[in-house]
Amino acid sequence: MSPSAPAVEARGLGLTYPSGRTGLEPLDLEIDPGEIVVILGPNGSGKSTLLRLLATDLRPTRGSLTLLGDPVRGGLSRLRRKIAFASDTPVHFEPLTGAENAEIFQSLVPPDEDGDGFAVRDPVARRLERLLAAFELDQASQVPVSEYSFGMRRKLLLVEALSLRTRLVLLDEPSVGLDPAGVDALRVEIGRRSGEGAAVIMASNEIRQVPSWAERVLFLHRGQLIEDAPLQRLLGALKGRTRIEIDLLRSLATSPVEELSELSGVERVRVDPNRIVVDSSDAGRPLTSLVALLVKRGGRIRDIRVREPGLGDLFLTLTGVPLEETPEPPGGQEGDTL
Amino acid sequence: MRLSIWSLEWRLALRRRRLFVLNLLIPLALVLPISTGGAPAYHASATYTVLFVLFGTFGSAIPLLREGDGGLLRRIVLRGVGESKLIAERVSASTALDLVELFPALIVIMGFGGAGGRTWLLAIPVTVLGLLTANLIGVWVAAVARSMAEGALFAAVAGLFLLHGSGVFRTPRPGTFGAQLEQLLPFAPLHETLFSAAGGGGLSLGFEDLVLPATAAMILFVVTVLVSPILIERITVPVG
Repeated sequence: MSPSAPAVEARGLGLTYPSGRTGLEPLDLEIDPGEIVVILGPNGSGKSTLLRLLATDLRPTRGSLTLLGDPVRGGLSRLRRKIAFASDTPVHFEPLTGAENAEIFQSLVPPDEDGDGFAVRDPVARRLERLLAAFELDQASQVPVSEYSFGMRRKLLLVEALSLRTRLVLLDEPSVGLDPAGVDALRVEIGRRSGEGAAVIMASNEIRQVPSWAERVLFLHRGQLIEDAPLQRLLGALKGRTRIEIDLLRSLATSPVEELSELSGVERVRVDPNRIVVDSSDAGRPLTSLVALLVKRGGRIRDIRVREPGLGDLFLTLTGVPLEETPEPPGGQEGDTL
Repeated sequence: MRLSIWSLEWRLALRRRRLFVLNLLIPLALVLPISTGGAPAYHASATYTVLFVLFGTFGSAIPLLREGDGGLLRRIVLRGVGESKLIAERVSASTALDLVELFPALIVIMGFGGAGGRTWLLAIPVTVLGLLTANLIGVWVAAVARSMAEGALFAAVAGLFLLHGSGVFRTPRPGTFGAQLEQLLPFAPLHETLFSAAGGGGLSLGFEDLVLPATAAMILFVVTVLVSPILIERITVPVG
């Protein structure tokens, strides 16, 4: 592969499962070496399907896919050696120690074919040692994996994937099961791999930390790519906006959506039985009139939260579906939206 | 040539010490009372052959099913290990391990049966041939089965059916299809050698008699390796 070839080049890439269910609607995608990309979407949105297609774990039923300059078709072994894939399920050789597992996944294929001779700063043994220490597994590395907790298995899986000298790194839900130190180590190591020229693509429905490491965000919803934009541009679109969430003790007799929408500075109103969510372009201004109107309508306020909206809110605006599992508001869930 | 899967199989087998010891002791526990109990060679050799063959088919099919189901095989393949390499090295390693684990039982059979020089000479090659075939059948069984229980059932049925074809449970009349088939099946020389080893008289089998069964085993090996991407795909069955 020439170093300038895109890490991922997909044209009309799509997948329909044998059952007829659509896993991924046709999409076009180009990801460059060194890019850090996060795919966001709720459960069942097609994140893992896309990642597994890129890992050559699933075969596309539509379109074409070129990875690291090689078209995905036929014998895939050589191409697969250039891809590091950590799925969402940590699977290991249970009787062997963490260090042995990491060493095995390094040595299963010849080192000279591994990653196309991709230059890295440190040799295999030292890299493994460093990664095990970074993820705080150095003490446990001589213990059989059968004695590991779920979080330790997840960390080991990430160590194995991040230690490979590949040009493409695919991580499915990388932060799941990690403690804060693990999340921090993950952020550093993803940055390191990107700095070495590897494209890092993550699938996640965690919206607080993982997306902030990325340069580019893909929103997937019901198998469709609904947004593909640089993180900074998405965050810029949210700048100066405010989200006001008001929890009520009891739901109102009639929906206040229309009245609330007419208030100055109000852009969008969502009313759940016991919760009112208002997006405003004018920080703070509609709050007083909102509260006054709700009190006038007989509403008894339990809690008020004012915050800056995030990527999850943007996703909700685009799709009407929350990105993350959110606690059900008291008394019910979906309400009417304007 | 890099034998990463071969060495991985050995490493795992030796690390699972309890299972390794059990695999050594269980055949011995079955063979010892039969060898020392004065069982007729015909019955004893049938039991030994069944034991050896099912040891191979089960030992190949069940771990493949378990690792396919758990996702380990998929991980290995996605790491870039070719399916043909995976199957070829795995079957060879598993055959060698079976031989090591059955070796004490084989020594007991031949020791107590008063096996002659020719039997001692042929015992290892025919056992390797039989175990290799059994392990290859195990791979096909794993590709067809959809659960451990199915794997165990299919491994037993396939093994016993081929043992029947090999003349282990009856002697086919000369000139019949059964007799011709028997000459091809690698379990037939194993049975004949174990019959002699169990005190059933001198062994009439020679190395030249192994050519056909060895060719059949090699053809099965080559076919299995050639279609290994399909077999592995079926064993791992990507979720979705």
